[in-house]
Amino acid sequence: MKKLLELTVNRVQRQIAVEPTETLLDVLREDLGLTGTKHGCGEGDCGACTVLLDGQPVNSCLVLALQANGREVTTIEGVAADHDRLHPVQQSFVDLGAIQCGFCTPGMVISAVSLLQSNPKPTEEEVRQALSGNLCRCTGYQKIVEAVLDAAEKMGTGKTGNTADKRRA
Amino acid sequence: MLAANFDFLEPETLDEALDALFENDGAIPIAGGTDLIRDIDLGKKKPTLVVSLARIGELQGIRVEAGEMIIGPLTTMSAIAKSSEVKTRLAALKEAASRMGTPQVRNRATFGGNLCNARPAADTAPPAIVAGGIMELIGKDRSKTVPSHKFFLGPGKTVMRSSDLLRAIRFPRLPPNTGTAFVTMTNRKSAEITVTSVTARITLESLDGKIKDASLCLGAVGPVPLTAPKAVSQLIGKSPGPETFKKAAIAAIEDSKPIDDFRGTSQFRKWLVQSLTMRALRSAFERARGGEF
Ligand SMILES: Cc1cc2nc3c(=O)[nH]c(=O)nc-3n(C[C@H](O)[C@H](O)[C@H](O)COP(=O)(O)OP(=O)(O)OC[C@H]3O[C@@H](n4cnc5c(N)ncnc54)[C@H](O)[C@@H]3O)c2cc1C
Ligand code: FES
Ligand code: FES
Repeated sequence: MKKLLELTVNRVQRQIAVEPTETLLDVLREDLGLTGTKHGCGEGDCGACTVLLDGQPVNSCLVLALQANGREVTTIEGVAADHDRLHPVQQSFVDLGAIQCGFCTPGMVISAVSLLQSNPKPTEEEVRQALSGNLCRCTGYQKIVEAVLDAAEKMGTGKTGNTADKRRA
Repeated sequence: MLAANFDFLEPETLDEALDALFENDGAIPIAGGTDLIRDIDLGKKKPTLVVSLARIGELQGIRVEAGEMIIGPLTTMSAIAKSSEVKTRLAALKEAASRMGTPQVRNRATFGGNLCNARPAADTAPPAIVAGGIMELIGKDRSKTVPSHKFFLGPGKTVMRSSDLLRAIRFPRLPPNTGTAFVTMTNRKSAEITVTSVTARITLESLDGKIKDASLCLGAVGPVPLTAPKAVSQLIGKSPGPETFKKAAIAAIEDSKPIDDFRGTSQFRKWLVQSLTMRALRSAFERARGGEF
């Protein structure tokens, strides 16, 4: 029987009737249409389904939707502060070629954003550690790590302009 | 959508949770869900009611009372890894929690869930055992305590009834000049289950004295985490150092009961028991001498 789920997704309060057997990933993708979050393995191994739950990265495939009741979720659709501007981490992924097929990218970006919130100047090893729950079958990881370090540097110096800004300038 | 059919309850008090577990035959508690959700999806567990423990305040957090460190079963691996209490009182538990799974898993996976799920490779069980952790169990109208080395009965089996909950894990203060260490071998650094782990505790008579007391626990080489009496008998009363540690490490092989599986053969696991025992003892000894626990 469906139950009422109340949660905040990307700063918007939501009320949805969900089945107890739905995972948070199901609700995000199927009920809310937020398909940026991907379904990879469904068992906690690949990290494609990573979202922030109360600010911490978790595998949304391993959370029952009702376990998120009253909590705050941030998905890839909500990491940027406003709609026509990418988050600096997203911008660095684009600029440094850290995206190939893109399937792992939303999860990678969420893990990276969370790392830079708690550790604005990570070492390469710390970046690799923070991304160790996110698998990528395309890039070989190197460019992803470089993109996160690049974003860290730009966020540190305040130079986070995206291509849209450059065009305007 | 999981291939299952169950109802969901998230009570705010321990009594409500215990009532729900007692009154509903197919009720199962859920903590972080990192083991249970997959077990449900695979049809290994078939609950009719899932009772979330997440909102029960008294099951959360790490506190120190009368010298004892008391860890709530809902405490996540991330919280244990960050805790200064755990770091200064039981380094082996910090080591186990810090490396388990992935960052995402550690943010959900709880200490209680790892213990109650009772996999032979559960990484936080051996640190609990070498430190003499005491499991506080509670059911409707009863409660009891069980030493952690008597908690596990077999893969997925503990002394708990299905309507019981693990309420807390209590760690009496370790004696002075004690050090602990957890070392593990996995096929990859991240997102991998332990092939073999060894956890050691050494207590010295004095900073440069003999070994007064010791404990070893071998992970993933038997149906439950195994204590290693033959190895320990090679340590007590001896001078700490490579020779003593080597004798204990060779004896530890006899204490282990490994099987072949896709992560490693039993022969490989025996070699691991020996080399990881050496490393765990060395590291525990260094901590004991350095005033760390
Ligand atoms: C990708 C991945 C990697 C992993 N890597 C490791 C690893 O390296 N090492 C390792 O040891 N484990 C690993 N695990 C397994 C798992 O994450 C841990 O065992 C975790 O600690 C389980 O905790 P949980 O809170 O998620 O438990 P849950 O899934 O919520 O519960 C597990 C079981 O314990 C019961 N339970 C939970 N809390 C209580 C309580 N207080 N009282 C009574 N019963 C209770 C539940 O009913 C259930 O049967 C991994 C899992 C994944 C998905
Ligand atoms: S889909 Fe959740 S970790 Fe792979
Ligand atoms: S870009 Fe294809 S999986 Fe990472």
